[in-house]
Amino acid sequence: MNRWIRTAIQGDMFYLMAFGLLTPIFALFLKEQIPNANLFTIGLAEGIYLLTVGILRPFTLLSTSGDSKGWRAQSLLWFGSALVALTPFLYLLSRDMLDIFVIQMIYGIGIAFSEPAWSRLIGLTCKMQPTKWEPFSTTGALISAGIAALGGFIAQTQGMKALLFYVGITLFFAAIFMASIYWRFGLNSKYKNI
Amino acid sequence: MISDRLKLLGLIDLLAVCAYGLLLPILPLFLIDQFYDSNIFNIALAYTFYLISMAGFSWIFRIFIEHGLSIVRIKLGLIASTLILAVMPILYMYAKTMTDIYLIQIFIGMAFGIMKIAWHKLTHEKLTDTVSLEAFSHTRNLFTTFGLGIAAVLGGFIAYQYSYRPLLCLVFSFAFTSFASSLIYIFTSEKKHKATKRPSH
Repeated sequence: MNRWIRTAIQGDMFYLMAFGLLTPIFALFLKEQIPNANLFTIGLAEGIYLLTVGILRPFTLLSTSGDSKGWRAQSLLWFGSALVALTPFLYLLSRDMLDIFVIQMIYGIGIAFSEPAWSRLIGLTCKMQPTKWEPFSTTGALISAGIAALGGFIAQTQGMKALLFYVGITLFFAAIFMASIYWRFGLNSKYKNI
Repeated sequence: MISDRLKLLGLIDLLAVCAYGLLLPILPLFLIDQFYDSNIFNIALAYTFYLISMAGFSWIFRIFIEHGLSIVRIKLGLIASTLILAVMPILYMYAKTMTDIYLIQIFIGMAFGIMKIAWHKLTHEKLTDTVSLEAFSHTRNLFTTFGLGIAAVLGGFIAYQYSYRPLLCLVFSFAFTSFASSLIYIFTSEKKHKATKRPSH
């Protein structure tokens, strides 16, 4: 596999790019766009997402860690990524905080499905142990730092809805890119031993 | 079986992360409400400073501990980082402009960057054959996710019901408990070290 593609996968930069755009100002989006949003409901929305991930993640982790070939992990990655990519568009359609709670739950399910699958596929295709990822997570942090500023700039100049639209599009292409990378260079490739 | 010292390390990390997890989901609203010069862009910029600082200082600290007196530097790093995290909520209360917030975010990033490396080194040192790194990090992730989820709801509720100042006091108390736990961790290790050395004299 091309070493730049491998770095891209390990640095998880494509997902970071999309999430980093929205993360710092998500609370402001809710406050401005959703009628009954307040400090408590915004905290609750974040709590619902994290608790959904916390409850589901051990099960998906168990499922992917026992998957020696990686096929199940790949299916989970596709399904989870599709749910995550759907989330920004659902935010655009939401009308009150109840919608946001449901969307946060869907987003949590997507992350709980895709994140362990993603780790497993990195392990299988790149033959890397988690302890060796430190330089890539530093790169990832620096990239998401730049992206956070960019997200703020887009929201300031073009509005929150435009930002959400960009996030959705980026996530959609990131999901397709990651899925095709694993399909081409990972499990279905003759270059398995990289 | 996870040893008591490993549990204490886990507690230090959980308290520090949950302290800021109380504030993090509503931080943009706190900044918009409290600072006249805040807008969407400079709130995102504050977040950027935090991430750059965290990445930079974790890299610097990793190089720093590779040289002499490694274990002393790691322990000092843990204490210093938890102390900085305990002080920052007080500075949030007295910040006047977004420039102050940028500085606070840089300090928080520095503290989390140093703490990440120091905590990982100490944890790896304490892991035995009975507890694998993978199992420990999965358990830690699970506790942290649940902790952050509960902290987000609690933080939002306190800010909504009682305003930001009590929330910042709670953040301080969590972070200070983390600092106190790290002191306990360091001092108990010294005691044990002395106790094991004494018979040889």
